[in-house]
Amino acid sequence: MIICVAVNSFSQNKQVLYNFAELPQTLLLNPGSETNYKFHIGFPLLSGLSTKLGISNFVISDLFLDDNRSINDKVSEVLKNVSTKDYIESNIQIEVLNAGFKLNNKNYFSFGFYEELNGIIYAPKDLITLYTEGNSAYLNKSFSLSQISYKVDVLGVLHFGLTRKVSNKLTYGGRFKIYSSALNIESFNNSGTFTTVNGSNTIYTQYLDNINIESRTSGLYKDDEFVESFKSYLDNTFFGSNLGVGFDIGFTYHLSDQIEFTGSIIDLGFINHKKEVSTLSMKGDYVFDGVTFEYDPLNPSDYGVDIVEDFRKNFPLVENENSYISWRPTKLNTSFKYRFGERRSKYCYDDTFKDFYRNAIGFQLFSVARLLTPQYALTGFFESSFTDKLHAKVTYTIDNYSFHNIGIGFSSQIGKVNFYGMIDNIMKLDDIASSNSLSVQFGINLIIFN
Amino acid sequence: MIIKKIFSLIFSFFILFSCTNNLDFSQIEDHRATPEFTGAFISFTLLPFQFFNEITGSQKFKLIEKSSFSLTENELLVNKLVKIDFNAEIINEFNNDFTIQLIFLDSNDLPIFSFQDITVSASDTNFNFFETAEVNFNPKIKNTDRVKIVVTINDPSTVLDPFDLSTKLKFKSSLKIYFDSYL
Repeated sequence: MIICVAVNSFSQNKQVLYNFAELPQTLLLNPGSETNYKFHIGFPLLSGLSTKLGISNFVISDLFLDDNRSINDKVSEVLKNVSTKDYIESNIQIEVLNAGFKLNNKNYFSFGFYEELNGIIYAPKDLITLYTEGNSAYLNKSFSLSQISYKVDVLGVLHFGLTRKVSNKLTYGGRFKIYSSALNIESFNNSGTFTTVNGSNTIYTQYLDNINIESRTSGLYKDDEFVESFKSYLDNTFFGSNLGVGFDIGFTYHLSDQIEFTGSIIDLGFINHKKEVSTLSMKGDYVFDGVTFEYDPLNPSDYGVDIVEDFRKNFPLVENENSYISWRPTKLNTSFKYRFGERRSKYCYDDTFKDFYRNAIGFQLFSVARLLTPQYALTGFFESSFTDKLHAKVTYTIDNYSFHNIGIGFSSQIGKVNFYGMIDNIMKLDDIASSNSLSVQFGINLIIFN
Repeated sequence: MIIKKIFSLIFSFFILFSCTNNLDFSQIEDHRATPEFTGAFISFTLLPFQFFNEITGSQKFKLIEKSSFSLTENELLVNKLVKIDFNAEIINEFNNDFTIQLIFLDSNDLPIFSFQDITVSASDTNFNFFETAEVNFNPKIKNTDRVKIVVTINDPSTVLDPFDLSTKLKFKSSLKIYFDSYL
């Protein structure tokens, strides 16, 4: 019998957890991970809870440190330093169920269900400048509306995976996922500029050029009413109206006893949003050079009304309820591991013994598809097994957030109980508000080997 | 025992060292956005014939034009309005002085604010006017629904030539609108 209680941080990159100590949780990062047990199951709702906040190019304390500096000065300084490719992202994941069992000597079947909130918003610098300073000091500057880029998803994921050990050298696997979206809000691939220039016949002329902005939502409104009920969102995460499918695939390959190569693609899938959908779009060009009074009593006109009508005609705000597809943020993991040191044996589920080396070093590459550009992380790691039941891993990661992210993790087995814990960015633990990102993972697994 | 010690160490590490310097998230309430938006406002070009009644042919000395200009439509914005700069550039090719009035009207067409009268001397082709309206001192500005511009020939004895197409009064203006808002 295996009882599994795990609390994991499902940050986008789980560099410490990836391919570590044959933990059941590694199967969600690579369905081709090697397993060495017969059965595992998690307590419903207790098998995983995680949150992550990541901010690129500035930190919480830049804005909120109690240092008697003006908040306006701090905001201006942050705005000066960030680029339009900087972002804030968050991820919350609650695992409802996680289980698996050996079908036979070659195949391990795993399945589960988790809830996920995933959001990212890029810094719309020009819009923030317009909001905080206006356009007066920026004549001839084109404020870019293409900087509007965000995506928020709340969904439930039901998954079934099969891991097949082909030989002692090769293990591969796949996972089928059914996504049930409770909420999707997204806008990206926008275009257009807003510019104010000195005019010729008027003092100023303002241009809206090549505007093409679209904002899509599903699950946010029902019968034209904003959905406020948390229960309503929760209900829709389990086979709601907006469903999708996806796949994970992965493998582990031993080039030799000591050299191992792994790879996986996670969340290759999409969601078809067709209920409670609303898409708002604006498209067109417009030139505004003020109101021209004609002083023509034979053709009286309300110029203000005419301008509003002309603007709406040339620059309509269109709303539709057409279905649309949103793509999941696909992740790519690869790793190369070299084992060395003292050679030991450990007991396996099939009453055999498996040799392992005490230490290993290697590197991992992680990438996730994002709205503007992919995010990458390169991790170097060192693993050590103190016994066949106590393992540790240290990682050094270079990513979008930091060039010096050090993580540590361990996994230990006490009888049928497995406990693991891991944390990254430990150099910032004494002041997490000065950290661009932080990820903590820990859990308890009860594992049956035979 | 070793495992126990490791667990104790790790949890102690988390509890003792996962901390932050003093943060004050309420600072964000003190954030002020003070944007200043500039744009073209009203422009017109008047020729002599426009000072003649289109039916009777008699000369007029006062022209009036109105347009809706509702500040009240967006309550959120109007409540953050603090100041309006009015700027005008005028070219007067007439041999006459003119007075131009910009008047803000409410929804009942009643005047609620006006900038100073703009008096442009004859043949002044480089006249500039600038005036600031502080909303604090002129709170009725927020109720503006329409604007009116009245152009008056100052000398009632003036005789204009309705067939003169070369003499013009050119008026162009802009507004700079100041907002002040807390998050």
